[in-house]
Order: sequence, then C-alpha cells, then structure tokens
Amino acid sequence: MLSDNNNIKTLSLHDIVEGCATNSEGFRLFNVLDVEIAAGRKVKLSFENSHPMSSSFLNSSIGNLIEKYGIDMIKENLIFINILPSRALAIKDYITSLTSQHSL
Amino acid sequence: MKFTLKIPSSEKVIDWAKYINSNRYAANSSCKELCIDLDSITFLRPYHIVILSCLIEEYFLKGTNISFKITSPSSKIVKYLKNIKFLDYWSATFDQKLIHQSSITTALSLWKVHKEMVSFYAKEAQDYYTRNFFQNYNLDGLYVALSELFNNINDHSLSTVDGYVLTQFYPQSKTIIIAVCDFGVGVPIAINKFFEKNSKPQLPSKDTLSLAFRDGFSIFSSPHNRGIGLHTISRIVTALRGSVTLISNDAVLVQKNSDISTSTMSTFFPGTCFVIRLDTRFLSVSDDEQIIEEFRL
Repeated sequence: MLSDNNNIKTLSLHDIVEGCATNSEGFRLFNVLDVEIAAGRKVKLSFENSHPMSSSFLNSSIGNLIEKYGIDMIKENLIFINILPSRALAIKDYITSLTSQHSL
Repeated sequence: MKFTLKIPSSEKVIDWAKYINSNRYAANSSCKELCIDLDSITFLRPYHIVILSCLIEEYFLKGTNISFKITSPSSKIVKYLKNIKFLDYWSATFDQKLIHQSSITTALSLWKVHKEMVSFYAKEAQDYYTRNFFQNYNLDGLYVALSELFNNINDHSLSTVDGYVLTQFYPQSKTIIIAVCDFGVGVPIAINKFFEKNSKPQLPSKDTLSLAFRDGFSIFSSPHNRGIGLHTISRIVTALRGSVTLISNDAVLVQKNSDISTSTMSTFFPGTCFVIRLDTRFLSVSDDEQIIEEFRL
C-alpha cells in the first residue's frame, strides 16, 4: 500500500502479486480490490515494476471485478497509475474483447 | 529390465507421434532403466526435445533410472543438450523445480512446467532475451505467450506428466522459438467431451483446433476461463509475423502471420505440442521511459 485516505486508496500491483501470469495471481489482486470497492473506496493501482499480464490473470482480476460490479462501476472506481502505454493498451484490448462477448 | 530408446531419424511430427506411441511407459512397464541412445542423432529441434522430455518423464515418474548413451561427447548436438541441461534433467542430484542457468546465451535451459513458478519462468525468459539481444525492445509478447501456454497445461490438459518448455533464439533468422509439450487429454478430445456433456454435436478434430483459437471460445475447465488465451497467442504471433504449429491428438493447426489452416494426421499424438515462432525483427521499441501517470478505462 502506498498511501491511504478515506475515499481513495493507492495500491501497488507489485506489492500484491509477484507476477501477472496465472489465475491465482489474478484472484489475489481481485480479493484486494474487491475489499476496497465493496467498502465504497476508489483505488489507484500503481503498475510500477509490474509484469506483463496474461489473459488468465486479467480474467481472474479485472474480469471478475467487472462481472461482479459492472463495467461502469469499475470505470468509476479503478484508476491505473504509473503504467506503460503497452500495458494500458493490453488492458483496454482485454476490456474491449470482454465487453464485446458479454453485456456486462 | 533395461530398455534402450533410439531417437527417430526423421524430423517429421507424424513420425515422432508414431515413435511416442510405440515407446510409452505403458508398453514397457517392466523397464527399470531407460537408456536414451543419442549416438545416431544428427538434429534435434526444440519441439523434439520437449516431446522427448515428456516421454522420459513418464518413465522417470515411475521410478525408472534414466541414462544416456553418448559415444561422441564433443559433438555439437551433445554439447547443446548439455548446455540446456537436458542430459542432467533426470539425474538424482538435479533439482527439477528450479530454473537453471543455461550455458549458452541463445537458449534458456529446459524446464519442467511447475504451476507455482509460471510467472517466474516467463519473466526470466523475457529478461534473459532482453538482456542478451533486445535491450531496447518490448518482449512482453514472450512473457504473455509463455504464460498462456503454461495456463493451458495447468487449466485444461489433465496431463499425466508435467509439461516441458524450451525457448531458443536463432540469431541468423532472428526468431525466437517456443516449444511446449504435455501428454494431457489433447484439445480435440477435451472440446468434444465438453460438447458431449452439453449435448452438442461432435466436431472433427481439426475443426476443434480452429475453434480453440477463436476469441471467446472456452470449455470452462476453470470457472474463470473466458476463451481468450489461445486467441491472445494468435494475436501475438500475428503482430510479430510469426507462426504457431499446434499438434494435438490427430489434428494439426498452423497459423502463419494471421492465416490459419488445419489438417488431420493419420496417427495420434498423446497430448498437445505447441511450437511458436516469433520474428524479432517486428518487436516494438520498448516503452519503459514513457510511463502514463494516470490511465482510466
């Protein structure tokens, strides 16, 4: 955790998971983000020193959050910071693929 | 009982599939010592090595001692096999769980896929090739492709042996080859079992492979699967103008750039073997210095 206030929490992906390859790593991130969003807090997730992300990781983390809260709530409450353009694009492509398959 | 295994003289996958079928542990279950005869080999591609490794692993898991017959230890191939740790992999003192340092700069050592270390291996591979050859380029695609292949084994394959992976860079053609093999249920059988369970008509094996590559198709082996993994590999290969060859059960899929073709094999491959070729001339430049401070969906 980088910093904290009542409404916004800043978390570091690197502190939560060692890598971004597997479902279990994705679930670890999901569990952390779920607690914050369920409590009504926005999350700033720092990607500093993070790894690239596999589809399994994205499914189990961001995909699960979108499934649970809906895309609008996640757009509103999850902010990615210190992220490389290529990783931001990978997340964007994932969301596009996900939302084109399902109405979430 | 000692059993000596000769390496096929053919490079063809179909001949290797036949070779695997006639030499599996089940056909030689009285074997207490397996000797791999390396004397006649003149070539071994990464996919041959991972297929052979899965075969050896079957014997090893049953307590069989593994040895190698080598009369020319200074031959190029034997040296290569030593450098990638193939010759050490099944010795009593070798720790298979670790990712061992290769003795050459163009290949990572052979690795048995361990679920708990998937991220570590993928990152190690990305860093290894970045450090040795591509310092200003983005190798995220290698990390992601390896992760997808490992997750495929762990989530879907039900493999009797852990999968094996070998990555190799060929400086002359500027390509990175990834070869991954398991002796699991295979893609066609897994998909058709899923269809049977869901009262859907069976598909010819070759059609199941193209279906597996389609965005959003999943057999939901794990509840969180969304059918994006193999499609992601396909996209990486398209971006890097490479190729994928997928051999599974009696079917073969080949993707070159973005063109996919499938065919049927006259013999059965007991699992799944992926060979991915990435053309590094099409790697994008690293964006490490262009960090976005804030990104919203």
